[in-house]
Amino acid sequence: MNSIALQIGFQEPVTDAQQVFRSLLKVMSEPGVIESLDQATTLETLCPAAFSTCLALLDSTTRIWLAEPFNSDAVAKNLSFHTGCRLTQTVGEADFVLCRADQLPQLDQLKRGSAEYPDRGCTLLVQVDQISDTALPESTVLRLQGPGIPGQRTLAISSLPRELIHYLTGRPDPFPLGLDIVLLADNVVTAIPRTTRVEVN
Amino acid sequence: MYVAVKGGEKAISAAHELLAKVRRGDTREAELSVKQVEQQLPLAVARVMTEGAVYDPELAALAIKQSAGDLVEAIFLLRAYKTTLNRFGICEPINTETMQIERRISATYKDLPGGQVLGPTFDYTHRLLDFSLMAEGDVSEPSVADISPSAEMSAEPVSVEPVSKVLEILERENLMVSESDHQSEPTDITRDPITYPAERSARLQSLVQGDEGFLLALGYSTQRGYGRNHPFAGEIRIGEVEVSIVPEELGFEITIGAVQMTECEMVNGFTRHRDGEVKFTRGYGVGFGQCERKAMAMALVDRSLQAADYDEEVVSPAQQEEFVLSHCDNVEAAGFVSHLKLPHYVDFQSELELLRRIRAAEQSDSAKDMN
Amino acid sequence: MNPQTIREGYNFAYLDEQTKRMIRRALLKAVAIPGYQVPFGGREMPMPYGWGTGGMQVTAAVIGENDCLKVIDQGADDTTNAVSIRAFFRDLTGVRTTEKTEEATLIQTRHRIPEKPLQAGQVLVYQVPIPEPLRFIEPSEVETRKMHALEDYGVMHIKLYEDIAQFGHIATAYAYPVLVNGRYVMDPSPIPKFDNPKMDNSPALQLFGAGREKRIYAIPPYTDVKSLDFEDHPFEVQRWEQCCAICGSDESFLDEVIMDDQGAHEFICSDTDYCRERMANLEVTA
Repeated sequence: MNSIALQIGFQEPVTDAQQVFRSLLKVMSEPGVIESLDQATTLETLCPAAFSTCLALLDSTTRIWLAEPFNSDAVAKNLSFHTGCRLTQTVGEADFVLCRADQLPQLDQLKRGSAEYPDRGCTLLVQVDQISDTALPESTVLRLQGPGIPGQRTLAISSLPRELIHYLTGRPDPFPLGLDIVLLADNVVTAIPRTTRVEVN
Repeated sequence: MYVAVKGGEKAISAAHELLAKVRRGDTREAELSVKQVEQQLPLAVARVMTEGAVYDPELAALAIKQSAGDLVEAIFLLRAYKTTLNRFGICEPINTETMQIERRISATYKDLPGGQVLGPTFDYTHRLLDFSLMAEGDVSEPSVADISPSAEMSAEPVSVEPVSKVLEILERENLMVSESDHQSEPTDITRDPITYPAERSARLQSLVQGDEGFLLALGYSTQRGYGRNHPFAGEIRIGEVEVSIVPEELGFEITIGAVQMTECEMVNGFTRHRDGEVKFTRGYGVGFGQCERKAMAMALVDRSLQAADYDEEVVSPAQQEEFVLSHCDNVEAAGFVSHLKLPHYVDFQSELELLRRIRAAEQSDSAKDMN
Repeated sequence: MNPQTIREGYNFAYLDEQTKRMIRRALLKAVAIPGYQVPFGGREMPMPYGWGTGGMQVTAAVIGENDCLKVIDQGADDTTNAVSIRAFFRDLTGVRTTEKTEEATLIQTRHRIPEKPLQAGQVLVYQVPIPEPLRFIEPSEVETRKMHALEDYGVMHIKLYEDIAQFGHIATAYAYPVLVNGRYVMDPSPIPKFDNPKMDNSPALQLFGAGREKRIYAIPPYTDVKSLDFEDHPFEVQRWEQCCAICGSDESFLDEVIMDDQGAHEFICSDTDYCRERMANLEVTA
């Protein structure tokens, strides 16, 4: 086995984890709001926002499924070294799924929880190229409404795949079931939880 | 005009000083040391360790001293301390079969391999206040050397060999439902709150930490007919058991110490099982230190909570899992009862306002009726 | 953060990092499913259950060195329990504390929402004794969970309607149930129903922690929160004929104080910060 370089995780584990969490709490409770997230560095193909999120949320009690190209030795080894998280090969048992927008797993396979325990569903972490509150070239502009949004909010995401747009606009799982989606690009984060009604401009 | 009362912070610190004074008592008397508590009140220490869910006789003794002998308060202190501890690892399941027996009795057989070992027990003491304990100083050392062990019943263990379990003897004869390690990971109730119906592992963890008095009363209620399950004390054993871990970097088991435990396995009434066979059923109780009453009560309640497994009608409190498990923790219970001492001005004011409004409306209605 | 101000031998905000992560994951699910009670591995805190351990665990998981913390009990900053919890966090985090509602980024409360409207960016943490709004109608958790899953809230409406039949009013004056985002019936903790309208479409994030019952729930900012009622018996809040004996306010929630053995009473603001600020303003204008 090749020896894999271990990278530094958080510089200040307690403070950084708290700040990353507050940003995640902000975007999950106010969908479409964009927060910066750069407490950790880039980890191979993983952007700083995505690595920071993993460090803040994962531990030995959580199972994560990694899509190409994140299922590399370097990413897997660093994540399990820093967090002790359990890697799973079965996407349907993952608490967290980490993928790039162009490498989505089949969404209907992800854990949804049950009507009694809708919180037991999976959190989908999707790394994209760009996130903005104004239209970008080759981006999909989403109009968001629902809890956490006074009136409506617009969000532009670059190269958003068709399946994810279909999922968001069609909402195949009746509330309270559904996927909570965290979008990560470079050093920013936003989220679209299951309560958000999404239209494409 | 009303002037608001202030000074909470001062009052709180004064109250703490008063408490320290009460705890110390008359300063002409020597102060109780933690070591004395640990050595001379071992059964209190055992209860605090079991329900406090931390095996550390010294800290349990400290908690008892600090709480001025209020064991529920001491249990709470130990639990709150436990919250702050990092988890370094998970030990291998302990094996009580290899216990260094200090006491071991069975009420189901007159004699059996390993023998009956009475050990240190209050059983068969005559509950007469022993005024000699009031005299200070020269109390003669208790001696057990002159107690000669008989074949039937010995005061001290005769062997250090592993002593096989009474219930396993019955299992081998196919008379007892078997219980074996099915290698699945037990639930951890400190991480995942209990959901109902609960896994057996979650249920047993909850009962171990459960209040002795509450479980005793529930166990007693099954004996009086509220969820009767025909118990026999199949085996009670007390002694030290080794604790070992398998460090990831070593890959093999190493012993890190020993804990004193009490275990009770209850033989309960037989029933026809789903596979058509007729067998005895069983209940399990365990705890740290010498805690026989607790272990027995726990075993009775563990059995009564298996009602659903044997298609028994759930009609009594001791059979209702959600009722038992959600009320057995004395740290939770004492906290919620004691919170009634906190100010409730706002909720009470809301009720007052509503009651006055309802009464005023009714009075004006009846006044109208009179006219 | 000034490390010297943190009590030796303890982690920032008391809880270990693994416990914080577990609570944080539960909080993220709670805001994603507004009003739904997320089970979490609640821990023993150094205060008794029932004294705010749920709120304290949520605060400990959320608080950071840049926060400014306010703690109130019954609306007041100076009640013994508020004083004690504030001292605890000052001791174990070293963060700034305040009594001024507008200065706080994080407010832990028992039984009240401050009178001064909350702002965007503020987080309000409620201490919750019994999180299940259906508990006193149906004691079994298995059953109430089913009711929430099926959105079957008939028993709650029947209970409220029976009140009207017996008393002419809905006989719930505090912990008055609300419907969150049109889906989950939620217990707002024992705040007076006077405070219920403040929850609706608040710009602040509202988090609820029930320690003994091991549940966390949340209302994101700008979320519909409707107090349950009937067309012919619309929801209404408490009113007083008197005003505050200190500041003269006729808009705030008032506590009653007994003045003598004959039961003579006066009323004063339950929100001490609100009352103090009004007095300060009155002195300036006088």
